[in-house]
Amino acid sequence: MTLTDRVAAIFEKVFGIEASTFSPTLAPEDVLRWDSLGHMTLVMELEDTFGVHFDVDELTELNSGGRVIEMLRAKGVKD
Amino acid sequence: MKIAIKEFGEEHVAAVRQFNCRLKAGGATLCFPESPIPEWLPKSPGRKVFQEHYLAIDEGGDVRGAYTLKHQEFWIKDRVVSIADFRLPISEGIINRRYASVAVQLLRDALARQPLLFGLGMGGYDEPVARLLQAAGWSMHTVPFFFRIIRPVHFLRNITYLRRSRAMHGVLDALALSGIGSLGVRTVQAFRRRVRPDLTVDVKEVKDFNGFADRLWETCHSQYGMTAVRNDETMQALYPEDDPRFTRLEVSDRGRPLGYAVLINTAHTGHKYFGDMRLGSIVSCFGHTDSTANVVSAAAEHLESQGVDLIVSNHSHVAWQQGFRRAGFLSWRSNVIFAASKALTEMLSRAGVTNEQLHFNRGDGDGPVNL
Repeated sequence: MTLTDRVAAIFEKVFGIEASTFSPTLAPEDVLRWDSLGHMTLVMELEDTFGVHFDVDELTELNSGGRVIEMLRAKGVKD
Repeated sequence: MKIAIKEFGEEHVAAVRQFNCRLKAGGATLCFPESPIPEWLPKSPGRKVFQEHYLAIDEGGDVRGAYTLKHQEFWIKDRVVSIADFRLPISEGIINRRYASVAVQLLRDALARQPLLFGLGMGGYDEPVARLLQAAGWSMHTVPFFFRIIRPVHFLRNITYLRRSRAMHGVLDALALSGIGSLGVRTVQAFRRRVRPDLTVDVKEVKDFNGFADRLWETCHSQYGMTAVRNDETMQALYPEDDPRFTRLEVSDRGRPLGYAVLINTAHTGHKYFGDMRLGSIVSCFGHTDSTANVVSAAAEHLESQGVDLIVSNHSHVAWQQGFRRAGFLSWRSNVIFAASKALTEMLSRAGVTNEQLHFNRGDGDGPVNL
């Protein structure tokens, strides 16, 4: 399973969207449940799944499917 | 999108005003204070209870979110610890999904500044802030609500909270007109009342606690698992003597301090819950845990003598809950929640403090608002 597939699965779990509809351009404006509560759940799920920690200043950069993947890679998560 | 959290300064006033305008235009009813110096509990030299405002500011200098920390000393089991109340978190995410991440950033920033955080109030478990804190793994605990109806007819005619449908209007009006409502309320409350007038108990209304709160604090703080420090200095900061809203009662037995209460008596007009009632509120109480019923009775009698229609209060400590019940108060669904951060929950757990030993009342947290 690639990193993109794993992130897509998390988006499906957190936001209730089909993993197959996940794309790097997906943003909060496109996903009904990607509100403040959804973002909190997403961050915690990403941190738990990949064993990473996002600093306060990084939290607002997790603003699209693509940025989530980029930031996980930057934290050493392998594809 | 880079957003940084900074302490609210004079240079941000215009941006906060614009933030509030955008929130209002987007249909939000919340807004953030527009002065960097908090109107309530500003920082001052030596003061241990104070507030600070923080802003989430983007690269263009626009404010996208804000929150307040209310720092205060608390007694936890065997020591005094400075902790903070996470207040007034507002994010532009409530009107624009683009900023959905800001609320999480505000919360994480607050935790980085003070890991021992709590929230109080929040309006119920379904409210956005409560859901956010729950999702962040905070522990949540309801602070029970107590009430005593003093003038049943006024209550039945004005309790907007219950008069939400035509049917309930009709039922409550019929109960008020027929006298059945008055009879029922008085019977239930009298049946519940277990405390008898104690002739040796002395109740004194005072302008300030002037040593009384200090004496009481020294003798009974260890009876509580967790409570805000409630000495003279803190009580004066929270309920200043020059604020005419507050009534302070000292309750003693043959010179021995038993407890105190801080009260508010407000004539409401068109209140969303209390209609046109005169509402009495017991906003803060403290004292020996075996004397709670005496203190509550004294407070209720004082408010009754002032002509209130209804008395309300919220209390988390089991001894105070018992005191309210013994004084004839009834309980109802509460929308006041105490939420503790993971670090605070762990500290309470390590210290062996149970939920029943937490002492929070209506005056804690946001203070006596909406009363």
